[in-house]
Amino acid sequence: MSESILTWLQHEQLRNVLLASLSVILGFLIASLGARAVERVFKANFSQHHIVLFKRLVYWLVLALFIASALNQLGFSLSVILGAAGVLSVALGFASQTSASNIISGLFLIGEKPFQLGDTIKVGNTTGEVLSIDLLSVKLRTFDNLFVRIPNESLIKSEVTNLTRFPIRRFDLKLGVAYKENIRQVRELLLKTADNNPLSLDEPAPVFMFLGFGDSSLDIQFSVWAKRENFRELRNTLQEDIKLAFDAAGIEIPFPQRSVILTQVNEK
Amino acid sequence: MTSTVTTTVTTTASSLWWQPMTFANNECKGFRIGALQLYLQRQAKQWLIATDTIHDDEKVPLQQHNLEMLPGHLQPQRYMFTKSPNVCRLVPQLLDRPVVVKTLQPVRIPPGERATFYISSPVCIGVVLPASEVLKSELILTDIAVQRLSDTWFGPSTQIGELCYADKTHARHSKGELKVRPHRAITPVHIHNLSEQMLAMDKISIPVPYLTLYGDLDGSLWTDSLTIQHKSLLSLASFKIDKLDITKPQTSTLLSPPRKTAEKHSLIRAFTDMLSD
Repeated sequence: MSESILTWLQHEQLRNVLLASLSVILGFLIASLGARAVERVFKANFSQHHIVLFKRLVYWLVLALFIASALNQLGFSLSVILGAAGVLSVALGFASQTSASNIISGLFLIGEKPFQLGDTIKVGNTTGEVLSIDLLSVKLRTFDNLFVRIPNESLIKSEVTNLTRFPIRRFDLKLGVAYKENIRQVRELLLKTADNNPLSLDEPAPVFMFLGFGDSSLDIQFSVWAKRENFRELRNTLQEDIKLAFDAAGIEIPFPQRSVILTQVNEK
Repeated sequence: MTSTVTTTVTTTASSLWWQPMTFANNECKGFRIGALQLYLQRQAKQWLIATDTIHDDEKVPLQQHNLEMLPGHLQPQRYMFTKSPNVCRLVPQLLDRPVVVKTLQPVRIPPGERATFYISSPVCIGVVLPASEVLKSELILTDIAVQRLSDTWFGPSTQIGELCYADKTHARHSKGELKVRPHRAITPVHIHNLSEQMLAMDKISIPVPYLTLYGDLDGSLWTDSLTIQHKSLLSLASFKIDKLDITKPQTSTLLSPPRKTAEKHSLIRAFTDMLSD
């Protein structure tokens, strides 16, 4: 029995299969370890986005080498495989121009760095947190917890707004007050409301702009700065504070009014 | 169910209010520190902490009340133990971000002149259970700001700078004018105008996370002092923190170490814009 196993193991083809399998398993292990090492080394000086890229690059490069070695062990000629891959890639390139365009756009995105992992961006009508920046697409998680995949080509072509690039943001509130109101009193009241709100930054100071005379109101823009993380809370609390302050001071916020005249039709 | 709160004793607390206090089982105490009303209650297996805000914070020094139970309208935080430790300390700490203070009146320092200002900033109160038979090491239950200051940005542009807290100061220049306020720590700031122009100062950034906090015998809080040498509007203001020499006998005790330790160069960068003209 044992003799037959030994003869079986000594068979050259089987030995090659075993060595190739071992090579692939070793490849997986070394690639994983290499990727982790890259993360540790680059953690201090590179962004999360670049670390992920380096990790993937090292992982697939190491794994590809071991797989090539395994194929070689199994008797495949690497030159033939590479040649076939070259021909195949040209054929695939022609067949998949969109993907190629996405890959090139992805390289531009990686080089230009308009946003990074964890940033919140707005593309068209979609706003969400960047989950990953890949060669073909960028993946977002929207605030209502939807997963959105945007092809890189679309991102390069369209306007992208990065909402979390800078540490502070400005909230522009546009509102109108009735023509009868004292605009100076309105100005003081708005500035005092912002001053009382701890989320509103003291510097840069809030800006009051009298935009002009609207159809039914005196149009105003009141701009207040907030810490990026507090922006949404400031937007809610400030508008609430302003409404309460206006109500307390008897300042009217007008709205368009329509007169409806009812006429009676006499039936004959 | 509505609970009633009975104040049995109302006293002005001991000046060294950061000393450890022993709580009997079910004992409840209230502390008024500036605008903060803090309630602590110890039960057999838990500590309860509740806070409230008072608007009139300037007139009253620190007060301590003994209560039968926590006020019913407050939602306390609960900290659970197998057997609750019976000793507690209130530890004042400086804020976690620099405080930018605006002077209430414009201040001018002529060329070659020196001036010392005493600028105060509100503190946080840490509720700490010291190491004991029950606890292996000191445990900070919570850290509560006595006063919620407004946020502000301090830097040359909206891209470069840092987030700070904003406050206003009288920029008093005499120790005699200082009020003892248990909820504010005083920082002595020495400014030396070495330039040939009048130095106008309307706001100053106090890097409180880098300062040590000390308590005095009268219950007042002091920090390390700052020295700023102003050479010209274009150059960096040379800046240093003067540590209190704790080896010498004095009345101050160290209450909390700096929250952050600054590297030499980063400190210079952070305070380039310390003085505004």
